[in-house]
Amino acid sequence: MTDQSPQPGAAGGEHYVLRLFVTGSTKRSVRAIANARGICESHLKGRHELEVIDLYEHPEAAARDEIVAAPTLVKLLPSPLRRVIGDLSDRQRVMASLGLGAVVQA
Amino acid sequence: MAMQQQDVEELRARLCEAEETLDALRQGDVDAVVVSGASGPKVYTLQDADRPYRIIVERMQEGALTLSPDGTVLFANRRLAALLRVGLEAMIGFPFQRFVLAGERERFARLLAESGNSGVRAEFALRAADGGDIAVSMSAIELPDQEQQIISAIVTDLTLQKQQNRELAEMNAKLLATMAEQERVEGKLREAQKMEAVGRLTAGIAHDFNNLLMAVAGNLELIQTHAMDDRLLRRLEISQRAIQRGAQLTYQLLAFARRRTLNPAALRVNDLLRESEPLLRRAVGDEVRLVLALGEEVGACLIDPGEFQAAMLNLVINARDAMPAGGSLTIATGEVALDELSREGGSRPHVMVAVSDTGHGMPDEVRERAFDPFFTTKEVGKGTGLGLSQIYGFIHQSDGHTAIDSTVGVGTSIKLYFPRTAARAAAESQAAASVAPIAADARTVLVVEDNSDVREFLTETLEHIGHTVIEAPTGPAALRVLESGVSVDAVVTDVLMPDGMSGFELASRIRHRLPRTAIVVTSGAAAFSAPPPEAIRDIPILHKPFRRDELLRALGSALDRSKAEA
Repeated sequence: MTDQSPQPGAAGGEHYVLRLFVTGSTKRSVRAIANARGICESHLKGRHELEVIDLYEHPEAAARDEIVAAPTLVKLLPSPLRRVIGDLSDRQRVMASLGLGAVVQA
Repeated sequence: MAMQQQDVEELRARLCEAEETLDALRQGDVDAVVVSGASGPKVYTLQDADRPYRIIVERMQEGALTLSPDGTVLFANRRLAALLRVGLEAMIGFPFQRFVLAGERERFARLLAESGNSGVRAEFALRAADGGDIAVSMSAIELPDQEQQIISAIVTDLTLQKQQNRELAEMNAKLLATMAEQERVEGKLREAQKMEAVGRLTAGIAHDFNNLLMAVAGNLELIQTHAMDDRLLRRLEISQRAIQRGAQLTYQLLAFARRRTLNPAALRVNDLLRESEPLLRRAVGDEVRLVLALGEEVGACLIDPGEFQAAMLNLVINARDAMPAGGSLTIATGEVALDELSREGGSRPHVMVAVSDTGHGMPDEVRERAFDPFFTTKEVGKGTGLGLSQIYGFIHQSDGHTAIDSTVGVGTSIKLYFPRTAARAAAESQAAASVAPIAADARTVLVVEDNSDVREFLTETLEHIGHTVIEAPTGPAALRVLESGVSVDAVVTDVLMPDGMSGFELASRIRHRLPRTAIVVTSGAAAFSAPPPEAIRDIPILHKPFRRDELLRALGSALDRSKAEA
């Protein structure tokens, strides 16, 4: 699944390509998906792609992105590549890992 | 320098990510870990993460287990343990074969061997720990991506389903049996209704016909008494012979319709058969061998001897015709036990007479219609199709039953069953009808007859020899005449008349009030819905069409008797 922003490159910032690895529909996976969507919606509106991958269905996808556990959110672009592990409920930590911490909030 | 600064930043970020990952793992913030292997990465789910699936497996109503290829139980759910009435500890690590019935183990091994990636399913009988047998359906499939081969299996208890299937099958069988029985009963009913309807129709036609024949015959007789011309007399004779043939036909029809007056007596069929043996032998001719196989100590039954002998003659002739090239004809008698007789035979012992031939036999469609009136397989002109109908009527009127066994090419056996009677067999004393002289004295005779032609014939016949005749068209009219005080010596009355009073009832009343009055009853159909009342059984019944001399003789003897009693 991919959430594609309708106006890539808009809102004056870099375009983000994110990939979220989960395992089935466990509570933690469901929470991770909701949190990732929330962050994208509030901070990357219009400039992100979010792909959710179920490791049960596609275990081979874990090798490509060197995933060691699930849930894991991977920032593919902009580089450098970053991974955040867990259910993404610590928003500050997630934002920092994604390089969004520098963005001064209005 | 700037490059070095950038590298340091990158390394710091990586270190940070690594530490965060370790923290997450330590804190249990993940559901699964991914482990790289030679055959690619594998996802290992942490225990609490797959809890929902474990719950499903434990709570489901099917037994679930995993097995090694040799059948050792690696995992089993509680439902399976409950089904086999054994503790989980007594299953896991042990061969599952111990729960499979000995005769089924080979099939079970095959199921495991064939499980594969697409799975297989089979039904087995399992033996629970307490010895009870359980029918189950078992599906097995090999788990993918395992280093060792593991087979997962689902066990479904079929006990309830089998029981329901069994109940359903039983119900179905019962339903089928009921339907077959109903069909049989309906068939019998249809047959009985058909025979009844045809009988009623036949009786009606025969009755009206007899009145017509009576009028014609009577008038011919009257003409005869006046005719002098020889040629005219010759014509009269021919006409009278035709009337006799007509009378014979209506007689047969009435026999089929069971509306003929029978004169039953307690007789032994063996005696009757011995008596008519010479006649039967003449009838079968030289080509056919007639064997009488008369049973010993065959009881008596209430039958009309004349009708019985006519029936035998008829059957014997039929049998002879079925054996144009000769053969063997056996008349056997005996008593049959209840269970040998068809259901409707009732609970009384019966006397059986079987007429069996070695002739061409009858196909089913002929056999089924054999008793139908006017049904014949003989050439046109060779048979009326009334013979068996007449027998059928006679037997059933005698409270008996008929059966036909026939096989094409082998022969036919027609069986007649008569209820055995407790009455002692009377020595057949069918005394020749007493010959009474034709009346000489002039008397007053009341003629009661609704058919005006017949009435006129009766009147003229009686007046011709000097009697005084008073006519009445109905019973009530006759009673009015008698009550008016007119002296009447004799009453000649028809049985079936309109106005609600039968000849029998009229005769009973006259017998009661005027016991010295002579009575003669005439009958067109003798369609006696009830036999004549006991009190008037001695009254002679004249069957139409009767001849003038028969009437006069009957009247004469009735007058004689009443005079003797007076």
